[in-house]
Amino acid sequence: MQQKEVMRSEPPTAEVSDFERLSQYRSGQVEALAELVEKFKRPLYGFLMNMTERADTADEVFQEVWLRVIRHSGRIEERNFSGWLFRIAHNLVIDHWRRQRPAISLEKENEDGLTLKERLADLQPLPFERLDGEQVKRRVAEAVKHLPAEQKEVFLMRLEGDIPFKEIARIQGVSINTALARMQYALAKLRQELKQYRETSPSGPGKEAQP
Amino acid sequence: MNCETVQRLMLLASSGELSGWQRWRLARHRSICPACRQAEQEMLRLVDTARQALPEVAPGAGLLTAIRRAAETELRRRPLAGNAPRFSPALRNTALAVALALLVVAFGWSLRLERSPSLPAVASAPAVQETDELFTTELFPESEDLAVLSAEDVFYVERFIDGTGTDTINALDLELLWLEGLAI
Repeated sequence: MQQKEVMRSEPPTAEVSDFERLSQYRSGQVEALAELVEKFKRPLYGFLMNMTERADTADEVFQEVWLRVIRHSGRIEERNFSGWLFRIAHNLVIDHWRRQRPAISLEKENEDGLTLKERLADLQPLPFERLDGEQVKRRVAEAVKHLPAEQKEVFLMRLEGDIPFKEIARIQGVSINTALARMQYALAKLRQELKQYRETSPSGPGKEAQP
Repeated sequence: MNCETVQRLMLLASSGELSGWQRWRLARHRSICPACRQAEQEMLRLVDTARQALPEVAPGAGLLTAIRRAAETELRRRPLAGNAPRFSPALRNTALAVALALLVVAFGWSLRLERSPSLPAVASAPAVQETDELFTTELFPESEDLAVLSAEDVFYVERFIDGTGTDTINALDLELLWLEGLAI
């Protein structure tokens, strides 16, 4: 496990490669940019779809993200391309929300009040394998939709974009502890959701245990 | 180190963002806390399930084509990187002359400033000490860090420091090691 972490912590070479592709585009190779779009289309579009919950909005923001990359490709000074890409996406999603829902609070936490003690107290393994895979997926996807915006963003940036927590914290303008806490709350909610599902599902073990 | 701190370290471990010192602390806590070991397994499984549950979506081909067209248009519109715009010799000479004149004026101005009476010294702002957020007391609130390490701990510390030559140990880590009599 330790060895794995050591290996994971090595600086990602992919970022350098992305940066080089961007340089190649600036030198006139459109194909280099097309490769970048291809590489990031699923994580970025998945992030936008989950954040905006509308395909037409996701399309619009996706296009705008890449237009900004194209326009400002000469200005990028950092080598973390994916972080830069998701930062642009984050800003555009916020702009979108402001237009749609001016009253939305980007800072207010809507935590569920679950304490760590409660979370640690409930350490019975979730019987994922005993539930229907598709049902669990649907349940999780639905639960993700209902996460508070800040938590959902951290969750999606990690899972869709594989963005490091330090970078997520920078993008959201919060401390790394806040970013980690948001991820913890998101996971706690998903866990709670699956637990409820287990208890209420006719095929779940909670029901099986009853006479 | 308490279990809440450990849970955050577990998240950082899953994203490969732990320093050698943090990895050692996590490993040490794991070895003595079955609840956290189980919580970590649970967290990894939940993340894995959630990753699989997220719908696979991708933009349509039309959208990708539009982006490609925009990229081509932008390249036609502006000069390519590395190809500096070419100026006529006359324009280049004029620019050089202007630059030279500005340099002379700046030099003269600096001489004048040197001769003027010295201004009272302005108190400089206190230097901001850059610290890694991950090592703030918020994340590591326990004072137990300063406890004397056991022989086993020393083994781990040496292994993590010596064995992973590239690992970074920040100032606070070194301070802790020094307090614990392990300074290198």
